[in-house]
Amino acid sequence: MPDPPATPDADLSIAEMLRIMDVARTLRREREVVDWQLNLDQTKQELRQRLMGMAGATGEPVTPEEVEVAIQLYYDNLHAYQEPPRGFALMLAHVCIRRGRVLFWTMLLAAVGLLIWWWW
Amino acid sequence: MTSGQAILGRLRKAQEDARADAARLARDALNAERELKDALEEKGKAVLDLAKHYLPELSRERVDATFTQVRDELATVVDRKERARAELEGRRDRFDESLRSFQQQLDEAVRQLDNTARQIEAAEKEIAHTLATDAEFQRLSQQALAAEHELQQNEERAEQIQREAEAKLPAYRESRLFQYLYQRGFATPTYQHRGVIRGMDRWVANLIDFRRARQSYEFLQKTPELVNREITRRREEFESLMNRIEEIERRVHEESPLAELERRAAELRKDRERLDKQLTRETELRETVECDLQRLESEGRFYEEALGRFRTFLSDTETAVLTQRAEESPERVDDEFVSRIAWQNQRIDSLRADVEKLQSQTRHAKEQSDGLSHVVRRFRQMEFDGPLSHFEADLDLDGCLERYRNGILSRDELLDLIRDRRVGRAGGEIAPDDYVPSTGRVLLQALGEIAGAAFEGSVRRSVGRRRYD
Repeated sequence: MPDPPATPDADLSIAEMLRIMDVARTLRREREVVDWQLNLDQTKQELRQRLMGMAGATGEPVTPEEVEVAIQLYYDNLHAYQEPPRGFALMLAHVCIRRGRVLFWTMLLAAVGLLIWWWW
Repeated sequence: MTSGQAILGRLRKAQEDARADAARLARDALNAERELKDALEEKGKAVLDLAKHYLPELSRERVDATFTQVRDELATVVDRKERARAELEGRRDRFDESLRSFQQQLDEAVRQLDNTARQIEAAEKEIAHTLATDAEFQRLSQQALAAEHELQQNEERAEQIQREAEAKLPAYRESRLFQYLYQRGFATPTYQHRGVIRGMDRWVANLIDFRRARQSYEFLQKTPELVNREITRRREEFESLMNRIEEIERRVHEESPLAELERRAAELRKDRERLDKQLTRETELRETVECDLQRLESEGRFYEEALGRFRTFLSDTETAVLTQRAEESPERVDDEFVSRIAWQNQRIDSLRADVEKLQSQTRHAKEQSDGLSHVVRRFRQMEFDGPLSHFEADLDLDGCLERYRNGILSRDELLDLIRDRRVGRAGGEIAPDDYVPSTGRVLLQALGEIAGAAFEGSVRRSVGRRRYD
């Protein structure tokens, strides 16, 4: 007969307590993210004031409209994914992630080459 | 001697002349019938004009002024019209009475509804005052207003987040480099590779800034759902708040007489609608009766009936009587109508005689034409038109035909006279294939009479099959 499932009690191990704390931390972070997202206008307002204050302190002649456009541009590009520019590094990266297939075709071509050389 | 062919030609000519005469007489008879029909129509119009002149409207005075013979009949129509009018007027009066009653009831219902509406308004003001002084209701209302405003903003923001995620996520899903690292679990505890492979993956991750991209990807994937869940929770809170506010309002309503007043107002509204419908229906019925009354006067159903009867009477009345009446009256119009009727009567009598005469002549001509057709047919059946068939020179065929036309000779007598003047043998008597003995010829002739030309061949073959010794 199988043993009944263990009932939780006050004597939890440190690992279990850490796991529970992880869950609680995750929930807190999610709540913070949600609050931040739902109060984004307020966040933008605070950012706008700070930027204008900074511009005033440094003597930068920016207008509130320019700051507004810059903030909007920042949030539009936030979380947007963009691949690196085309070039040798990008090509090499694609070769790396397809290394199995590249290796297979290379070996095949080498074997064919060897066979041709041997028959020649 | 005259050949059979020549006799046949003259007989055919006489037959065609008779047929042409019959057709011409038939055409003349048809034309005469048309003229008679026109005359009858003209007389009908004149009689109608006279009837309208003597009876321009259906009233007792006008009927009394008409002919004594038709006066009672027309008076019956007047009686029926007056009875119909009295009945319709009675119905209209009853509808008027009913409409007055419904209108009074409707006015009373509207007055009571106005009173109730004023009481409801006062009760609503009292409820509003009570709620305005209730501290909890005020607090909850303000909370609900703020919550609703916030909920509205949250819902708009949630839509923005959803749109942002739908716009940005495809780039992550279409990137082979990002998907390679993400599916391998790079930068998570599940990633197991070591050595060169780990080094290559780290290099690729640095190239595309994988850590930041992974955070953004997970943010875009999870945030819309989290935000929606939070909005659902806040909506439930708002609903709960509204339920508490409505509970307070319901309690205040129940304590006030508003519910009773609203129930009464609903009943009064139903009564008003019912009375309104009844009033509309009764008004429509009254209008129908009014229309019937107007139609009775304007369309003149009874007048048309009386006019028809009067017209029939005038048509059947002697012209002399009509003339006498027209001369007695001081107007000249009726004299003109009567003279038109008299002229058409003369024309009708004359045309009717012509039609009868022409029809009789047509019948006679048709009979003559048929008789000559019979003679020609029999002439050919007996093969009097054969090459060896001849007739005596003293055969006065024109005289015989003239006597036939005048009815002195019948078709059979004409045929006998022609047969008696025949000399030689008919073609059929010398034909070896068709030879028939004398007994057979008699039978052949008898059957030919019965069957006619159409079955001539059949008759000949039937007799030929027999053996006569």
